[in-house]
Amino acid sequence: MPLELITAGTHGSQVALYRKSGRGSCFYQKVSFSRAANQVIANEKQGHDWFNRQPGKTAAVLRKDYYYELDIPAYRGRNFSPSATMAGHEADIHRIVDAYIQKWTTAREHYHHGDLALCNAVIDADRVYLVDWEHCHKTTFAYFGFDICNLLFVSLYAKFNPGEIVALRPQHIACMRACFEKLRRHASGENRILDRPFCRAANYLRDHSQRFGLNIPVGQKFLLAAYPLHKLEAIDRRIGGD
Amino acid sequence: MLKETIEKSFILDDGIYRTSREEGYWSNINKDQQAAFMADLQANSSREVIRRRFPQWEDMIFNSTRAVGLRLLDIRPDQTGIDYGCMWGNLMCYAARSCRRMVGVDQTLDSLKFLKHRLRDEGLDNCRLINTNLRKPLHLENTFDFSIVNGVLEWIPDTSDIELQRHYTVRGQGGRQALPDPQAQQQAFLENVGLNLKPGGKLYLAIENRFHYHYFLGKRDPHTGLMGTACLPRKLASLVSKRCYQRPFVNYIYSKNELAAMLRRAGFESVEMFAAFPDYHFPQRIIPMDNQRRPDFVPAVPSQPAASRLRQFINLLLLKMDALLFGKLGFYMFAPAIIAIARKGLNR
Repeated sequence: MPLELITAGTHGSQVALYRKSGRGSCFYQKVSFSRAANQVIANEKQGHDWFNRQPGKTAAVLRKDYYYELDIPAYRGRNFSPSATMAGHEADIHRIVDAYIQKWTTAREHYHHGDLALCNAVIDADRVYLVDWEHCHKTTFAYFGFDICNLLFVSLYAKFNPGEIVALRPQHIACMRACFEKLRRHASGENRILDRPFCRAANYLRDHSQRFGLNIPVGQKFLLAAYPLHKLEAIDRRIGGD
Repeated sequence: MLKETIEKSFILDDGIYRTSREEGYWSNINKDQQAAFMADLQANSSREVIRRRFPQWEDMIFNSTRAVGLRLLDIRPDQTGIDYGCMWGNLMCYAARSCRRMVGVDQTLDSLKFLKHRLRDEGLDNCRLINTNLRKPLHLENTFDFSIVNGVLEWIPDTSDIELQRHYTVRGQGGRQALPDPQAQQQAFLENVGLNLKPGGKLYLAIENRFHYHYFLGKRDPHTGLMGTACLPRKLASLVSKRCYQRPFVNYIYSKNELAAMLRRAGFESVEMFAAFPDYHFPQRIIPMDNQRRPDFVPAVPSQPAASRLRQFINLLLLKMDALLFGKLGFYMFAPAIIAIARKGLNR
């Protein structure tokens, strides 16, 4: 089966992603290249099992040698480029939000994806799959909505212009407002994210950065954690209608 | 068994198998820096010493994601491998954790002394180190399941002592012997590599691509620091080198087809070629050179920020060119580097 390296060592991680394809079948392999990175692979397995696993379907298979390896099924459906933004993808974002709500409101345990973005979703006619669970970690229902904040924030960034957020247009505001309204309908009274979603999510990233298993500063990996708080407050206010 | 075979040709001297004489020098570290470096190693871990003395090479030496290409070899726990030109052991250490036994060969004794310390620090006891000239036969025929030749082939015809920090300022022969034909030297080396493999054994060979389109746009040859020598006809390249350095050009690199032909001539039956991006030192993407379009191809963004607006603009253009050539058109023959996986015939 021909092997192809898709990514390696992104954001300082000692992990590589390969694709194996041939004879009509295709799957991905995520492999650690250091003992420390084995935890990243274990996180990935946990996330896949929690969100994507379906009875009767192939699950992600973990092998624990000196370096961990995880075989991940190639989910069929539409995927998105790393530079995909909110414009033109509003319906896809709503599909992801619906799938997220469905999972969080029915599961007994809760996990953050940790790095939810359009490029980490695969959408087919029936369901949404999430991939790239390297920063997955266990959490509580009080933080319901964190991943969606990250997804929406990352989707605001313009292609090839990573330092600058695009000008917030009315359709962006409307899309985000609709997403947060959906989430609020299912949140508990103890929710610690949704009253000021972007500020709260940025604070969660900064306060709990060790849960994300990073070996670089949190601001270098997550745009949301590096963005100035007063600007996030302004976005929160606009979404809240102030 | 491996130990006895090695001991037929080499003498064990302080943990390193050697011949009776100095074999040559190729290192990023100058000779006059080695004594203090070695003394430091006696009291500190290999990683601490590199971090303190040569922090610019810490990633090159210890970042294990440099070994991502070795997955193409499908190394198994019962196998024995050899790394030709292992230097400080980055790829060798990765391989040693995946197989039964590894042999590291290098002409630079000081690099092997460092590697000996590193192996001890990392708890690797399944490795043997040999200090010898790579151009000579090792007399380890039919011994290895896989071989690694990472960034070595192009240096085979260069017989001088190379201190890489000074390499581009030295003029004249610099102790070189006049080699009749650099490609013949490289061919002979590949034949020796093939001899030492078991039938069906695999070779991992990584090298810059002579047809990388950046060379045609004026990028300097990384082996000479000169424009044009990588892609020009050899005679012209030699003229350029003689004019700038007063020495012939010998660091031959190859295109996909040239390299495949050399490997076949050296006795390898099946040869698979892969394109490595942005280079083979730190590959971020490795793609079979099958000319298939890959719409999901994302160009590798330069790790260093552009120093000027002009550089920023050029980088952006090159990213667009990458996306067009490799993502939309599938023209991998113009990729930056080649990784060849070659299998020795079962009947050889």
